[in-house]
Amino acid sequence: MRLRILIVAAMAATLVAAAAAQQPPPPGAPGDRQPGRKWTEEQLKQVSGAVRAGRILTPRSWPNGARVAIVLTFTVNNSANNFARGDSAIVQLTGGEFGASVGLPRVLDVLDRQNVPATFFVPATAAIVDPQMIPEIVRRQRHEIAVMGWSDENPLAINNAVEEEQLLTRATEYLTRVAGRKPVGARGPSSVQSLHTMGLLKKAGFQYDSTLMAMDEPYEVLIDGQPSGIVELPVSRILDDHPALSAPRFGPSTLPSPELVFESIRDDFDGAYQEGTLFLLTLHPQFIGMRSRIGYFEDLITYIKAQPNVWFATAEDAARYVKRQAGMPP
Amino acid sequence: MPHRVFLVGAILCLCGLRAHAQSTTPQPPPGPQPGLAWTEEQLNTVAHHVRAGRTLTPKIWPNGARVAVCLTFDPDNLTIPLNAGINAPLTMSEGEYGALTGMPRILKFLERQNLPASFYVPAVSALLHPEMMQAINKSGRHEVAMHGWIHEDPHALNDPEEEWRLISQAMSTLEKVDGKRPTGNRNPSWTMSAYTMGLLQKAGLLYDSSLQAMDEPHDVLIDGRSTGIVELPVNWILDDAPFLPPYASLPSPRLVMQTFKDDFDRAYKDGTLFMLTMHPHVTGQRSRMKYLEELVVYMKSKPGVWFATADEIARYVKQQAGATP
Repeated sequence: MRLRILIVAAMAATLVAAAAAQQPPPPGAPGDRQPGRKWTEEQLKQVSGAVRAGRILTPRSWPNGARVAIVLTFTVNNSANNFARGDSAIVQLTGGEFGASVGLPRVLDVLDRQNVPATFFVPATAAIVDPQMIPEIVRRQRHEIAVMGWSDENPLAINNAVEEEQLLTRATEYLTRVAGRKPVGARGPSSVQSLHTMGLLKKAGFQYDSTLMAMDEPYEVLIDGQPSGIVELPVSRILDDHPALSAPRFGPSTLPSPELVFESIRDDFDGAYQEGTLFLLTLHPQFIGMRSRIGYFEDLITYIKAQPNVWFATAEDAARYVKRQAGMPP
Repeated sequence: MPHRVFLVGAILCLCGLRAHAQSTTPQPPPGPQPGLAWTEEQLNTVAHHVRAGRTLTPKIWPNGARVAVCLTFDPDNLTIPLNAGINAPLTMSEGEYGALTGMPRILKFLERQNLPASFYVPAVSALLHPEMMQAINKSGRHEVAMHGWIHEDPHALNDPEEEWRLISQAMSTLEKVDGKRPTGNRNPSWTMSAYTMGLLQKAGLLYDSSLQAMDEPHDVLIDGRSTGIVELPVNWILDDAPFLPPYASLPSPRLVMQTFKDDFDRAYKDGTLFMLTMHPHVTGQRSRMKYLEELVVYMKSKPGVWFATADEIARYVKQQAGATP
């Protein structure tokens, strides 16, 4: 009985939260590109508070007394976003093909050789067109498959909770079928979230999300100020190969020197190690899998492994551990 | 002030640019080239509206120091997207990083190095993260100064009444939150309208830190007359924002700090001012802090380096220049 009441209350709270989160910001005058300057303090707080960072979830100690948790994540989006945009340009699609046929096998080789786990966020359409990928990942028995939308779509542009939920459900069902296990984590497709996304993840029972960037350690997500029970394992664009190392002309390619990029990434790891928190790296097989880059990735793993007391984990293991340590319900 | 400002406004209007006081839309993109038809007098009126006056670098800095070093941080946090009406979760989280992670790390670093700094805080940042303001205030040696109400763009607003409303509101909010009236200003995005400098004068501010005419302190002239406002000039190449964010032009903290260091070396040789602009959500990242700390350790290893807040520097140069502070 008590449990039922709790569930009903939780559901009601979710509905209220979802309804509030869906309210768009109050509009400004037509053509006014700086409407926020006219909002009251109350409106500013409400508008900015839809999805925010809650309490820090870094545990006192990581498993076996480790100082720092290392979560290696791969965004296996290949050409999924091209499909979402209806872009069938041949040469562009070969960039994604490289990710599936060359990049991913090279990444899996490094992970095998170094004997470390990783989490792969796979948009369903990327797996559909290259069906060998997920079995290859799963075969290693150490890696995690997680959700990244149906086709790396942009949920902010869709801006429709019903459609977004359909895509999320379809993607989750597809991955469950192919990987043989229901995914428990998500990254916003296109690395974007709408105001509906976090509520939908909560409703679908996800353990964690890995899209936001409010901290560089794990935290609980607040939806309209209320703790959501979702663990955020935050990402950072400077711990991501896309901005700096994406293929020139296909992406921003702001610092196409793997040596300089990995210097900064290693410095960031040193900081995480010193602070005793989390080091979460995001790589794309199509960028990191190139011959001139993959060696820097392996060097980084070697460097990290040379430090005492580091814990390599999947995002799922890290999320479950911090939840348990914080006394959150599983 | 108003007469000349409206004169300039009238000229701009005549020449086809949007300069009407009630306009709240941004300026149209520069397509036509109306300036080609300006007379010498019109050119001078436009170019000389706000200009650098005499340099104010003193013969010597306090305690015989050779150079003044001013570390400044702009906690823009959530304000830029909010002003534009954007509250997408990811965008909000990027801004939150500045308040929740970058700022505590920077304050700890300043504490460890025993250094003062100036914080240019959009008033809305202070309202949304009051704990951040308490943390700045706690040190007792940092300065809090103006950075707009919500990081608005006054050039695009082009409306002196609206701009004055935002300046006044920002000033009283910071005064309430920080416990003292700010004495300095840095305009958001380093943009100013034709009215801004006059409004800062009207607000009674001691100094501004937005212009880029020199790399040492100078007086500001409006229409050729001294304002008494001390300018502590900034520069886009002494700012982390164009370089270090992931999508910016040189996201290698080591290379960027090398440039900063080279610039400091010349400021040291010239005996002037080294003014560095940083953002908690940019430099507050772990891989960036390492190099900032190295830069500071390098500067501290030189004899005769005076680390000060912008307020302290402005007061000192004004006093040395013989003007009443």
